[in-house]
Amino acid sequence: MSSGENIIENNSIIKGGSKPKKRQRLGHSVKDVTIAWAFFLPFFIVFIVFTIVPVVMAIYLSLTNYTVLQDAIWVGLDNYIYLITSDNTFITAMQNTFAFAILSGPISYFMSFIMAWVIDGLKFKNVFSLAFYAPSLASGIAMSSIWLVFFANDSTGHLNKLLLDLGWITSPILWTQTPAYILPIVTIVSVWMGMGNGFLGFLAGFQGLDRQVFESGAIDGIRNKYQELIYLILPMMKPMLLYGAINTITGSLGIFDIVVNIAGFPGPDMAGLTIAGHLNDYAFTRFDIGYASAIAVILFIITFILGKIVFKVLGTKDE
Amino acid sequence: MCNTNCSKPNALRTYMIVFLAVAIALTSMNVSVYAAPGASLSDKVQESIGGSTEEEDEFILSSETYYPDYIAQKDSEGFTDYKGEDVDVSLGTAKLPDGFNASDYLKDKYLAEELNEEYSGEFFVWDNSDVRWVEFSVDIKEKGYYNIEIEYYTPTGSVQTPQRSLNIDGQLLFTESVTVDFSRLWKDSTPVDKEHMILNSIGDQVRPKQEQVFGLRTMRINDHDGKYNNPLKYALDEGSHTIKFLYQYEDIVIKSIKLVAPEEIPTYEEKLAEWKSNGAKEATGTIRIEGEAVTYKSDSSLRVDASSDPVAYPSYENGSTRLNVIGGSTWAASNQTLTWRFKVEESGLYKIVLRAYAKYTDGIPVYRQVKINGEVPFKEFECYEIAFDDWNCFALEDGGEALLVYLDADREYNELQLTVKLGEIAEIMNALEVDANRLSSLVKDITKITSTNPDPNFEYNLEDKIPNLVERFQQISDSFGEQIDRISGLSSKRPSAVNNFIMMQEQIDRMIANTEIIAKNYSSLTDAMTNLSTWIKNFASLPMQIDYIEFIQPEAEVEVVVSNIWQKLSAAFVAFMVSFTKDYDNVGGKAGVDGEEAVTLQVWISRGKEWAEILKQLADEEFYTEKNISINMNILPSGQLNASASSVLLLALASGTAPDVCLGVASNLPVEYGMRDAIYPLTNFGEEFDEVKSRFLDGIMIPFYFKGDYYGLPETMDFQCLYYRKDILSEYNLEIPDTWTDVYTKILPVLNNNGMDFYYAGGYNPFLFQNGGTYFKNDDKESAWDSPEAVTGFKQWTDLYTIYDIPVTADFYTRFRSGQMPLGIGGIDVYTKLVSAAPEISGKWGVASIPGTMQADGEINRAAGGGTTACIILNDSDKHAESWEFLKWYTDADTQVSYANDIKSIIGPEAIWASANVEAFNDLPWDAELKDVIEEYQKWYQDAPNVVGGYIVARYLENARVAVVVNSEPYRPSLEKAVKEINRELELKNAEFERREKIEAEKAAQNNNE
Repeated sequence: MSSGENIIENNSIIKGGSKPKKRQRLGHSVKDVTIAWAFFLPFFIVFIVFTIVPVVMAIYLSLTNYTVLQDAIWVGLDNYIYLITSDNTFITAMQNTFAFAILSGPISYFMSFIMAWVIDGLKFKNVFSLAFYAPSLASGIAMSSIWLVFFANDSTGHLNKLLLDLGWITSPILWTQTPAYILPIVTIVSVWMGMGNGFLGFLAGFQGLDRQVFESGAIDGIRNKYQELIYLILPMMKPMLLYGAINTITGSLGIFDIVVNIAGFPGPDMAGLTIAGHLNDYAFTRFDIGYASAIAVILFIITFILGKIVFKVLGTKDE
Repeated sequence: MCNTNCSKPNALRTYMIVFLAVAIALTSMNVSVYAAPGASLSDKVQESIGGSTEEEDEFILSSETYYPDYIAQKDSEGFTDYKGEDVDVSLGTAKLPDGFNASDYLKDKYLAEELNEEYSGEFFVWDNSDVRWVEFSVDIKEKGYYNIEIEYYTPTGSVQTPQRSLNIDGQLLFTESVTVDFSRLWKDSTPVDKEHMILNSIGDQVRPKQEQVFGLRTMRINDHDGKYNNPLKYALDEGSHTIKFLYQYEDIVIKSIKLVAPEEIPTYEEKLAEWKSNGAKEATGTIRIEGEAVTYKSDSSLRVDASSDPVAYPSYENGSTRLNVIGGSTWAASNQTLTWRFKVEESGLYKIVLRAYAKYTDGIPVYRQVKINGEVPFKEFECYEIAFDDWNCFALEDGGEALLVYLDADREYNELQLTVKLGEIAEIMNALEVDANRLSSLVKDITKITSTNPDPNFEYNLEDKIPNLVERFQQISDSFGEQIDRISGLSSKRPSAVNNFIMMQEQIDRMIANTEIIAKNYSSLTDAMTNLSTWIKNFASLPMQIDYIEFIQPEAEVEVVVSNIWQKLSAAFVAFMVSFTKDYDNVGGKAGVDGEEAVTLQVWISRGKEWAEILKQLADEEFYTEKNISINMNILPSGQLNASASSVLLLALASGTAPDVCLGVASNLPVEYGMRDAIYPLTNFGEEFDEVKSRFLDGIMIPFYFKGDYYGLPETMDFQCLYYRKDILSEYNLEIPDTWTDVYTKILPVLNNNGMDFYYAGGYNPFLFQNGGTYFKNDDKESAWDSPEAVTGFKQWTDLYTIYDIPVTADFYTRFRSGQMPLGIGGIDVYTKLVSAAPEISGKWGVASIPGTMQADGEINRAAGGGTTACIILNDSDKHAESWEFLKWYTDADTQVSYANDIKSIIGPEAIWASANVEAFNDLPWDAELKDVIEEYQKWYQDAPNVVGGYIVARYLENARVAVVVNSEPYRPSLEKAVKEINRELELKNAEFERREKIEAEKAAQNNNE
């Protein structure tokens, strides 16, 4: 075996390489796991304490009668029975809330998507992004107060003045005191405010898209922007769309302070009564946290069901 | 044939003709009187209306003439300044209204109780507000302009400045005579310097209490607003004249009245020459006086303040505030004067330097009158202009040349006085007021044709119907333009106050261009018009703040002490760091009060900072020293002690950190929380409670009562009364309505026909109670609004808005002033506004009891409620007895009166503390007319009870009201629907309540058994 052939000794190879550590074969090192948990834990703790625990407590309280000032008394399903069978105002609240949600939810959703799509292609992306995101940073009450100047009930409100000058009306319209106008106004305000949230997610999604797909799409016959949108972008953005949809649903079903600020509580002809408002009323004006919790649980169930549907539609197969 | 027969028919015919002629003559006379183009307002005021006295109506309180026009007029008649000796007005010539004897009030000596000193000489002691006026007579030998100089004494009263109105020879010579101030004098009870400063428990310096300075003072009558620099000149011919004063507010003692020669004030050159010729030399030293070390103030609300400017002296010490400036937003109007007395070592001519802040007015300069040793040295100081600027040091100068003053070291002290004047603003204000009046009468004419609800589609052709419509509008628009230019010229930038007028001018210009849009824009025209007076008033506020004053060498440079950005940043940083350790919520009194082991009560109060501070100071001084219980006060934002909110109190109770006592609580909270065992029932204090309860009206305790116990004590009380315009009621021959029937049948038709309105926003309660209805029945478990009385009341109430068309919401205050709403029902807030911010109708309005309902026994039931706030003791507290001591002391009459006075003196005369303690309430300075109304009102006071589920009542009542008033539904079914819903809710809540009670009883029984 020694005629000048270059036989590479196995040993030398083994010497040069690195021996796989025992734990590495299982997956991750202790250090990595600890770091992972360290990042995860703060959020996790906060989430458990301030979201999960209250939900569980709410479910418990919804089976009691609790005034905050006195102990809770067990009443079983009485709250739910009353809520579903005898509470007229709850029906009105549901109607109002669904009207707001159906109108403002999809509109703000599509608007933020379209805006993100448009801005993605513009030059001064950052400036426009800031401009669109800024409104959602302010609190609902602050924004509604500003919008109220626009929709003021007297002739000095901007909208009224404009219409008066144009001659379309002869005396100022009572925007926030007419039930019919409250829905459109609240929609406008909440769309304007809500655009920011989904928008940022979508914009991020757009920037994460793989450019190669577009190139291959162009080769495959995609002719214009709209085809690109439908065949390429939407399927790739499914996770973003899902995120945006969930956000919008929870946000619009829980609409409360914008409506109260604009229409008052409960508003002319109960037009300002939403589920969250009804809940608030029971909790603090009527000292009945138990009933309020029951309403909250029902709202939770509705949102959950809607969320599941959205998942089915927009979720990808591997989710 | 006709000889005998015809004579009778002839005679009959003659009689008929004569009769008809006389009848026609009579009716045409009536018609012409009725249609007479308005007789002068002053004549109309002569007619008497029920509720005001004859004597008062003989006093003229309105005039179309302004002072500058009066002087111009008199100048043209040849009047010049009188230059002779003082003319004494003998007080012995005093004449009083019928029923009063002048000799009762003329004394030959006066004992000043406050000083324990007796003055000798002739005095007129005007200490009875029922003596509505006093008239003196005087003989004038020389025709000319006279000032009126009065030596007077202000006895202890409230903090309000005593005021009178002045008529000469039965005339109000010009409108400014309607308010003559007899100013009080105030000082800080302890000086604000480092030696004497008072610190609170967190190290901040506390403002000292304000003390009134008593003594005889001399003043010349000035105009109330400070529009004119010199005392008012009255033109008097030779002959005898009468000088008549009308009692407006507060008692005074007059020692002498003199008619004196107006002072001649030299120019600066003249005065300087005079000083120099007397040997005055330029000084070489410097005198510095701190602004906050002010000796006297004319108003107790002119307060020292803590400025955050890092260079203001003395500045913050380790983040603790020091009081280092004087003035600010409260030193702004009405001749308010600050006086500094200081010692001078070296006689000589000094240059005056101020370190001041004058940035409040958005560009408009401020004006101050400077007096040295009691007189204005030269014309340039009559009304010195201070430019709009941030903190800056500047010398008083004229065109670059410093204005020097002579200070004499031989005097015991030298005195510097700065008085607020309005300067150039005065003329502008007068012109704008004249425009406002023109606009108001123009709008009135327009209203006669279009009514208050013009039809936007009808072509009114106002141009043809109203004479000179376009010219009048043009005149107003041009005048506005002129004033806008003048104001803009004064300031370095265009002040925002001007924008309102520009907007109005544009609106008027549009109406001039096309008169048909007037009808369409009628409501915006009236809205803007009623706001005009407020905008004009806003101009009359010229605040300024002073850090220190220096008298320096005339040749020396002014040292400009201004903070730079680094100082500001570091000061802000220090304040920020300190905020982590300072407990701001804890309102402190004196530091180190807790010597021994005192019990400390935790008190939460939901009012403004000043209210809490004042109460804490009062408690530290009186309550702590008496009972050895100190209080720890925390301030909550207002609204946090309302029952229906996720309020701090609710959360505190849930977490066990609730206080012992709460003040400023909403009136429904005691019962709402009490029925859930969170509030300690005060009836547990037995007899003591009964005694305390008697301090209040029976009716006011109703909202605090629940199932045998009372859960709170009232703090404040509101009242409802009828405000009416005397001049307008007499113009239309109306009497003050006594009952609601009077209102419907006599008042409303006349008002409606003449484009005016009635104001009522008081809700359903009066109508319910006056008809004998109640809120609940059947042990408070059902609504009692299905009773015929309640339904009648509801109909009466909603009829006001549906049939009689009175507005649901309106700005009563402005419309009352403009005369569009001559009658209306309102509470204390309206009274305060009218008294302090409606000078143009001063004397033209009165107060009467609200209309009632005639009962079967002939008496008029005037039941009505009012708003109240409460104080409570929490159940969780372990110091019930001590808390009760505190509440007892707090609601005591003496404490309430002191509190009311202190609040007025710090915050200003508009801050009325309407105590629920009846004795304290009646002690407040209400004028005589109002006192009777209040007495009647208190007789009938009634309020709505609070019951289980009671919160729902207001909601369904509002729904019912909206249904009837806005949606024009029939009233009976709407009310019935409300009753049904209310009953449903009450039933539910009561069931829940009973179930809980049962469970707790079971638990208690179980515990007993174990």
